[in-house]
Amino acid sequence: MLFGAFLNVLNIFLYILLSLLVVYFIRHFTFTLNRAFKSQELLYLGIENQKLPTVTILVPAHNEEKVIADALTALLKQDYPRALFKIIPLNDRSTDRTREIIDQFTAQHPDQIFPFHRTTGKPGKSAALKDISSSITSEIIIVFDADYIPAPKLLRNLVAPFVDPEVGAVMGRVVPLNTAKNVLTRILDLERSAGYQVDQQARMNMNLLPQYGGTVGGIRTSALHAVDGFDPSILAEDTDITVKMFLNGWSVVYQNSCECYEEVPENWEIRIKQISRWSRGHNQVLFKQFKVLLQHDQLRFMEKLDAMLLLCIYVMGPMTFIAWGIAQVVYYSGNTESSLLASNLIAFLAFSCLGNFALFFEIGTAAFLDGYRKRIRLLPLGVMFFFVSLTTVTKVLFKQIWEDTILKKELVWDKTVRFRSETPKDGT
Amino acid sequence: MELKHYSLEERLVEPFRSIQWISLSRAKVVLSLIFLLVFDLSWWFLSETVLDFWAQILLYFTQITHNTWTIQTGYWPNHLHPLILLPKVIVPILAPSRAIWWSFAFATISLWFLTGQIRLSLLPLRSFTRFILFLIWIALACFAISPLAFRHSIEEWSKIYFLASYGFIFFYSAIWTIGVLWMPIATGAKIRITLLLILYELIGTPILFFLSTLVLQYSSLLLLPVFALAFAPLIQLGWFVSFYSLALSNGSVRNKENQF
Amino acid sequence: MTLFILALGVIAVFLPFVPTWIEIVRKTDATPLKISTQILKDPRETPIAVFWHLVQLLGLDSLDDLKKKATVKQPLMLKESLMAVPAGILFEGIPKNVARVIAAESIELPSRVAYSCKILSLGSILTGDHSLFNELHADEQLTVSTGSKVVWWATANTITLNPEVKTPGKVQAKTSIRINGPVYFHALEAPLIQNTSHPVIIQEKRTLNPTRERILSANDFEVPADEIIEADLVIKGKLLIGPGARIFGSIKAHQGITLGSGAHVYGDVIGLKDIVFSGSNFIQGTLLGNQKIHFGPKCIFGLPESPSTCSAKELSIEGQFQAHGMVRAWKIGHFS
Repeated sequence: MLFGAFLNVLNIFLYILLSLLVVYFIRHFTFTLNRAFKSQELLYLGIENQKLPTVTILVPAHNEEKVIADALTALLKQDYPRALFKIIPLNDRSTDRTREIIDQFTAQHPDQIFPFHRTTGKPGKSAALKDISSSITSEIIIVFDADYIPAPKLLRNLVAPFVDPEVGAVMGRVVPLNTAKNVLTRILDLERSAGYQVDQQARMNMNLLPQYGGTVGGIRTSALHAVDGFDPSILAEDTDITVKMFLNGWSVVYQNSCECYEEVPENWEIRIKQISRWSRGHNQVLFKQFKVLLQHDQLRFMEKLDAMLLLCIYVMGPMTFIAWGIAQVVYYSGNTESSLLASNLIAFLAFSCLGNFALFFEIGTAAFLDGYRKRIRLLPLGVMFFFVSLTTVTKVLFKQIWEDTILKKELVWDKTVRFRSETPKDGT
Repeated sequence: MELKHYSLEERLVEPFRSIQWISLSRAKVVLSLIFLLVFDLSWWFLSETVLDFWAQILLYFTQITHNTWTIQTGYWPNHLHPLILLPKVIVPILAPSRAIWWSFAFATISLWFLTGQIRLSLLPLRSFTRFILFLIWIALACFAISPLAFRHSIEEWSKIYFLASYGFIFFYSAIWTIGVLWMPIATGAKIRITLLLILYELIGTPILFFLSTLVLQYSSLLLLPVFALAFAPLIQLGWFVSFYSLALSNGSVRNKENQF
Repeated sequence: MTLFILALGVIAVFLPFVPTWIEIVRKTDATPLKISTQILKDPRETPIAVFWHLVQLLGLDSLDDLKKKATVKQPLMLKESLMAVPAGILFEGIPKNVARVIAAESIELPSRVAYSCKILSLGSILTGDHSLFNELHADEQLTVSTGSKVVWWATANTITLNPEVKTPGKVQAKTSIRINGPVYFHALEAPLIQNTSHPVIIQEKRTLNPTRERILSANDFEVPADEIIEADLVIKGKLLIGPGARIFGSIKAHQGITLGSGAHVYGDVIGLKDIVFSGSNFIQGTLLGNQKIHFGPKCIFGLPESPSTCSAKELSIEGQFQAHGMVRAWKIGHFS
């Protein structure tokens, strides 16, 4: 009797989880349809003449000797009036040649580069950004990670949407440079393509919440101060800023034409570290902002829903894991319909890169829009990502609950290791 | 507005690579609905007859009779076959008292530690193996906690499995329609790839059932949920994704060189 | 037998994944997305850049070399697909394979001819009426005559568009674009764009206060007539600005924006629906409309020293109009 009740509860729980998965499926299907059939949002495109704002470019760097020189060189080549922008490399206690390289560049361009060498305070990107952001006086702050190589037109395109007084942050598109390295980088390239070309752009087109990604993105200084700046206790300071912006009546714009090269992890070890950091930071924002978001009365229902779904992305990994387990228990109890429904549905989702729920048709459409052809044939390999992400994200969530609520442990920033060995060649 | 012909948006936004690339006309929607109907109906009719045909051929080759327990694993759509009358079979119970339970428990635990030795470049393999072990442990736990509660009619399960896998046809074909039918690839290629997919789901599915049956015959029924819930759906959907990507990768390349 | 069937089955099951494996091994499409990190592809290229491109194409040293080469008495094939023509009227029989036609001096084109080639002149170009052009580039003056069309691109120092001209491509001038009568356009860019003979010199130049406030409103908002506001306005509803009002800040509305006659905005204007300027309005900053923008008579947009961008899906311009910078309609723009 009791056992039967328990099985019933399990069954209901399974259906709830399945409905959640279906909601995500519908969300991403809608995004794909939007990108395939709807016309493009043209509002902020093609602003070629405007009164350019003053810009401060922040380049947070911790042991980036392999890549920082490329980033600074590319930034100095920007098609932007020299008097209107300055670059601040944020050297956060590097132990390699990073400081030396930055100082070399400073000596060559004393009017352009103003280094900030950090030796005390809390380590980590958000803490470093918090330290510097209070002293910035320019209208716009732009953050580039040290492994990024911006195209000359990027800065101009990135600041263009700030003519809109509602815009608090602008996000550009991140494109992997080391695509050809191995199978992992090739699939990561597809995943990024889906995340930006379809996911972000569709959210932009549908007036939902495009996400500010922390790099290749600009923030209006006044907006940043209005939302109390970066929170150093949060790993994903970008997601936190995005949500805070929306809660305070600012909007975030995604500019697909602002493409910028980055380096993606070349081995699984780095990849799981990266995804652990993302999921941990994302979940922190979820725990912090969920209630505020739910009670906020200014946002539209669809905006709220999108924000909720965005914040819950990394919780869906463990949920999928649990759903698959429950499906099996339910199967033994004789309720084969729900268990098979569950397994089929989850298997369908399994051909996705679980991190940002880039489902296979989303990736396919993105690759198609980007003009890739044969690369689309790698789609069935998405299942590899699924299992790695599934186990990683699940592990991270349980670890996080254990460490944050029970042990109250301090967070440690885990840096992404760089691989670059030679100067990148021009893409054209 | 005769200027429309020059597709201004396309030309000027083309460098941004973010244009609307397919127009959604009413004719296309109607065509797609017809396609969906034909696709689903033909699949349904064909599956009835083709699976029955395959069942007979494979039965002949393997000489499986109704009293071999392989057929009782349910991976066989034998409810279609009027000649085979399956007795209701109860999955072997009271597992913890049996050697098989203990051997599986030890095997999986040692396998868990062994997978730790897989090098990191093969991480997906490690994750997948551990996921499968997770499923097997649930199976073991279920048998251990309450063997009597988890009795199960294989015949019924088989029937449902069959229906479930074909219940997803609509799901498949919806994605297929939207994904491939409206893509700017040659009509011939679309038809070829669609036929190939139907063919594969029809022929491949029984083969998959049959392979699972063979594996289960030489291993244990405890592995049944692993096949039913993890391997079979993953492979079936893998075919789908594979054909989808094949169709998409044959599309025409748009010329982007119009800058100067 | 069982083993054979098993092997066959395994092959059959994994057969659909063969294309994936082939692509993994062959790496036919593994290059990163092509972003130019070196070359600056600036759409705001001056007409002279077109000639520089030609100089590079021919492997010459300077523009003077090009001039020497282009000065000919009769049509001359400089290169396969490149033709030099003499000054005067361009003859009609240009071979099909010619992609570029170059003239060292001013040329005049005959009426009612369609050209698929690019026509470049180091002097001026005067087109014939009711002709069709792909590209026209002149170093000095370009006059597009009545009823002609420039499909892709027109550049010159000064450009004159005569009545009934349709320019679905981009029209770019180094100094000014003059519009005589009703014209359909897509994108016009010049320090001065006008359909009047005498441009108005703007006296009121203001710089905005960088620490101005931001007013948020979830409903419709109305600025009374002759009111002066020093703030940014972000309005979720409709925005109505009374006649003679002065806004020292940017405005954005999610619904329509209507400016009464004589209202001035010294910041940017962004409207997600239609924007209507009643007349005699002045906008100093960028103007972006997601739908249609209608300009009443005597509107002025941008400043000569800091050109600005005006873009919308559709633009309709009535009466006298003067703009500094870029005027773009994603679908179609119309001077009446």
